Amino acid sequence: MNALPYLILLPIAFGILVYLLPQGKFTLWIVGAGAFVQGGLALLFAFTNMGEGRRTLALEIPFQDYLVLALELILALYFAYAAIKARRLLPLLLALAQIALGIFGEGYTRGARVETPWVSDELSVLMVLIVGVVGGLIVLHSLGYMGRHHEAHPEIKDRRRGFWATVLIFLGAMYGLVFADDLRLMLLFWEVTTWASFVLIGYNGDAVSKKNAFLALNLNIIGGLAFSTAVIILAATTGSVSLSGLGAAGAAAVAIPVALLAIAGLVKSAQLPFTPWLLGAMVAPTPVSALLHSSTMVKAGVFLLLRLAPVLAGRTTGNIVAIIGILTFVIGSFIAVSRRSAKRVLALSTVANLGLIAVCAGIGTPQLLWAAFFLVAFHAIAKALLFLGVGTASLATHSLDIEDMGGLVVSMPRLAILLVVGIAGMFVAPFGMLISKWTVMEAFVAMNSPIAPLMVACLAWGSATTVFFWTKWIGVIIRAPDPDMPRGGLEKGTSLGESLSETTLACLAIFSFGTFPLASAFLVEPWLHASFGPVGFELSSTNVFTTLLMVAMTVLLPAILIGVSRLRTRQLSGAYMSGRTVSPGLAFKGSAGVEKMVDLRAPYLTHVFPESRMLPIGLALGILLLLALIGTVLV
Amino acid sequence: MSYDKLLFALAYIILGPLAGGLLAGIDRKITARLQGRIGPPILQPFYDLRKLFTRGLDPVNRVQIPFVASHLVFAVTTGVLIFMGGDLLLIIFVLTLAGIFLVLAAYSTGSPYGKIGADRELVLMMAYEPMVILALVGLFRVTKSFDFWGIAASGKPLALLLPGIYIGVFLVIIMKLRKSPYDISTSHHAHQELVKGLTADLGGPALGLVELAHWYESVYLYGLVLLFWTWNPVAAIVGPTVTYFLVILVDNATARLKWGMTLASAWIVALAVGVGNLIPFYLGRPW
Repeated sequence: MNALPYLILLPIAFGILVYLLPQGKFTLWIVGAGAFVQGGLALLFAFTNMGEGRRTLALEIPFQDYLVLALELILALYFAYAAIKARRLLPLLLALAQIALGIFGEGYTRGARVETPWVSDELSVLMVLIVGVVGGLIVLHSLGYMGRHHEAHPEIKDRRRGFWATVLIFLGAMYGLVFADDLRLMLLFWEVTTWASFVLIGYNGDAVSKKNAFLALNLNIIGGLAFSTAVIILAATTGSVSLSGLGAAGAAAVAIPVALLAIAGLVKSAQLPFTPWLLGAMVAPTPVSALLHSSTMVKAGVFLLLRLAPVLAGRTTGNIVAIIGILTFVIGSFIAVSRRSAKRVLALSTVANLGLIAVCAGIGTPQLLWAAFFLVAFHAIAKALLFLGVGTASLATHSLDIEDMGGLVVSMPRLAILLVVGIAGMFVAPFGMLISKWTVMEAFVAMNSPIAPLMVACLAWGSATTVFFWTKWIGVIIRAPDPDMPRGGLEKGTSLGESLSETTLACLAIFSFGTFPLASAFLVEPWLHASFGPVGFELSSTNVFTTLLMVAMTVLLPAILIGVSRLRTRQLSGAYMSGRTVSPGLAFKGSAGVEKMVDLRAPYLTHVFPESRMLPIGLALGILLLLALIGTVLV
Repeated sequence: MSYDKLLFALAYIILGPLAGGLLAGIDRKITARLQGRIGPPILQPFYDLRKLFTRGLDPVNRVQIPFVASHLVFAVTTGVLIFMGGDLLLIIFVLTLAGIFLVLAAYSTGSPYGKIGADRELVLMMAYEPMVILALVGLFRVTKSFDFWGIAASGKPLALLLPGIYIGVFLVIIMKLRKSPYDISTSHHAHQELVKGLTADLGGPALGLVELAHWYESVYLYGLVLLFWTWNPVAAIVGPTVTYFLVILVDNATARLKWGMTLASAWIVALAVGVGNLIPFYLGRPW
């Protein structure tokens, strides 16, 4: 069975169905069914295609040229309409430019050749798994979450049908995007994801949401314009618009389109100087953030960059992409130290990790692509878990401030464990992200290139700050809580969908950490062998052994010890308060004998890592590098 | 993996505390002499440790002791992996993990003193980690090896080829061993102490475990120092010994820095002499 049309069309069909029917109890069932069906289909596809390697998929679209053009024009007209409605000039101009470029380019792209319009390989299989499973779980989470979101914020207009319709269409478009080898088709899906994220970021409808939605729209239309210009140039100069065939014409011939496509990828993956759109996107309800950050939007950006890796490797364009990536990594990690908003820290960490993937794509050695593959996979799982968990916590504590998560280990013990799993997955040895980071480091160390010392230094400093901001967050979660808080006191309101989806993601995280050598053997190494021949990259068996031993130790050791200590400890003493303790909680006698509660705050070192100064520096450097990127291909 | 490496790792597990305790004992003796005191017997750290383990366990909560025990286990694991010839770049993450567990033990208590100590320990970790990575990169660029024995067998005068990196490593040793001026999280000097900081809420056997971990750590740290001096037997004895004395001298001659200065000085040194020392090794072969 050819699953491709079903993968693309089923979620979209479910989305349209949800939108057309009036809202009711069954809305949740239809959305849930849509999530399950597409997730099941994705799993089925992944298992049947696991060992197949690179192969072409057959899907003939009737009147493809007209259909694609019509859909693209509809999207652009919608953007123009939204801009006019909101009285904003810039998005209107951009949307008009998009329409003009679409119509102008039609004459060039119409006759372009593509031998294989749809292609599947191991990277597509990975993306399908991420979109289907992680995306599906996020939808599952949103079933309960969105209802509670509207209860908590009665001022927000309930447009949940539109919300879920957009989310499901988003997933469908992602499937199209990861299989399309015909760049014209990919561009269409690319624009659909721009549309979906614009709608979802603006969901809450307040002024800030609208502003940030338009920021995302503006930047992503710019990325889309770069993309369509690249397609037109390719069609006009080489006559072929196949993504996998880019290298065939010789690197020099496609330098400009490759640079433009790289820019499109950088926009979508929120690299400097395009980072602000993703940071602004956190105003949306949490499932949207989870979706944008883990399984859809930004992953589409790095997916394109990874597809470009063969034509980026060893060229100036690739090196500049890598420098932009490492800069984003280090600046994102630095700013995250000083941020107190949980979602902001998560967003900055996403930006940083995507930066690392961009580095891998830009330099494009087998070892780095190996690392990138796992960064994509592990980041999707851990970040989805973290966003969803933070969302659930924020509904209980009515706050997104990390400090308000103090003592979560008692007030929401289940969620606290899940969050710690997610955080550990992001940075603790030996879990997934760290394996990839270590591989990246090892690649930099051995690299003979003048940019290598810069890369090594940025990676070293970024990693150090990463440890700092994640560990202090765990410290807040496990901090001794308010003594009056009953165990599990805040966990009552959590819906089944939320806890089910979060728990599954946490299990998935641990499972994937434990089984990554299998994924390496069956997915990544065949993928690398296909592109690089026998000189691929394999993790040495000693290091696999070390890693697995560490995974086992890190998971089991604290669990066993805590279990033993539960059995053995008969009595506990109070924390040290300099002899002024009043109660076994955290009350102490202050001056003049007044009883006070201890109030602890994690360190944010705001004046060492100020966002107000670091982000502008990053943006300025990003713009300079972008100009350099354009300059080097034009000259 | 050959058996002699395994034996060496086993020896580290058994004899490590002995060597670490002796290093601590000699340290205390020299410190005392520098301050004009006679000082305790060299074996005093062992007596202290024995006494700690005779005391009762008095935890603040049910995760504190497990975290401290995990700290010890991962500190030992770090050394074992190093001496078994594992990939050093991978092992520094284990080293970080050991540190994280100790910090979490302090955070879990809710004591303001422990919490400040934990914050500062995190700042310390953030301060020394870049330099640790740069040091390993430097060692690799010269010896083309990432494992302890491979680097030791290179026969190259590493301390002379990587002087900047060696200065950085010297600071890392001071930070890791929590010596002045970088003893911001917890200190052996009572006069500059904020109620014992990181270990404020630990007593008896729990404090003993931290001390034991500290000894294990000092052994593998001086093992790494030794790596820079293996090209000739005299250098192998003189280099680490002089470094050991210098650490004690600096410890006694300086006062505790604030955390801001700690971070700034460590990073500036790492950036200037660490990265500075690396650049020629990327641009060509300078030797």
